[in-house]
Amino acid sequence: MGPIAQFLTPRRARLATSLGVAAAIACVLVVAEAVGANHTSGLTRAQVQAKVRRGHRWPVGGRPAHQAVSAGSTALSEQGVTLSPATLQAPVNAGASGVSTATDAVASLRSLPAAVSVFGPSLASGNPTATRFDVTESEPQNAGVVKGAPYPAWVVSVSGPPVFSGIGSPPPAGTTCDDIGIYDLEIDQWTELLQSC
Amino acid sequence: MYKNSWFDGYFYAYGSGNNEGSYANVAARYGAVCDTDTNPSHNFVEAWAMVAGRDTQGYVQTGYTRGYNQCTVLFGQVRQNDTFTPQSKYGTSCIATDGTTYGFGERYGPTCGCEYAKINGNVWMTTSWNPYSYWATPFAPEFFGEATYRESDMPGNAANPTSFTGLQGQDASTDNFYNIGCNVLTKQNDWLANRGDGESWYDRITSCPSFNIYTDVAGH
Repeated sequence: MGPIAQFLTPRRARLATSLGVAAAIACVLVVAEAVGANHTSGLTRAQVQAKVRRGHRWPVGGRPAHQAVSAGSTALSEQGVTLSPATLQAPVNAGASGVSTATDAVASLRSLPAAVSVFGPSLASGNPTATRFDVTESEPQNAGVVKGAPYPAWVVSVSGPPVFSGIGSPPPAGTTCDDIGIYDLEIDQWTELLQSC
Repeated sequence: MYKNSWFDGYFYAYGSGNNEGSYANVAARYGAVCDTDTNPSHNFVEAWAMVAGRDTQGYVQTGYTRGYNQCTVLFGQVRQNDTFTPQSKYGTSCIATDGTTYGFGERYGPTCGCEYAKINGNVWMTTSWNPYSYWATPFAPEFFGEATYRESDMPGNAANPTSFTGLQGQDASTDNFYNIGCNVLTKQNDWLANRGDGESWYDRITSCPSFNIYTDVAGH
């Protein structure tokens, strides 16, 4: 491993090598320059094991499989969202912003610039479905959403390819995810855009 | 699937330090992307802060992203390891790329045994797994611009760069954040040479260890 590649992860080093061949580039211009080193000692094995024992919610290797959006309850743990069967009534003025029916919800998400930006063609050419749920958030981004308080919502879901940062290996070919938009019928706003895989 | 990613920025060399979290203030700037791939899910440019396992199979990151012909949106993403597919959360509105600064942070929670992905102090995502159960230590704070094509631009230009300031790590021994010192991080620039249009990616140290990334013509 040369002076450049030694600072890359093994994966990145392999990537650089393989791309150099695949793209027929004479020299892959991946340059890493060390400007110093931190000599702080790391955790001992015992210290790491102590941290491993702290309260993670799933046993090692036992995280539940991806839960597709369905008519039942769905917990999107990492995103802090729980979808429950709809029991809450939409307020009487729901739809004032033009989102009242399932068709409205799909059309609105398809025209939302942020959704178009992150979900891409899946949203335009896919077959989104809109379902009424009661939504509870533990980490709401919208100031109008109260943490832990369920609200009536349209949940628009469409199947799409995983979008991911280029760290680590790509997900297996054929992996599909749910691109999800959540519309709060109480405040008449889109409150979440998620990808659950 | 999109093309492979390319990076410009700084990170803790793998195996160095004693970190479990990261933080940076990052200016939001416009990043142009190339024209041949019109799929915004495949053709995008980003800037972010991240903490990754030593082997980089797993990570937690927050930042902003811009796909082809689209606006710029905040995002958070977590990945347990290569066996699992990333989980993501996005902003519901476009952000201005006028240099507004966002605080992107990843914090290990010693009580929950989880990693939080935070933007401007607000939790965006929380891992349902303990990174110490899946990642090799020490974890690596990373601060990068990323593009899926080298013909695309790192966000910003010489006059209005994407600044990364206030860089911090989270000490794994104390769980406290500290200011990262000078000459600690390692640089990676995947496109130093002039492109066909005469521009290059830059990553200039400003007030060490703060730095700017941007794309501009050679010599800037």
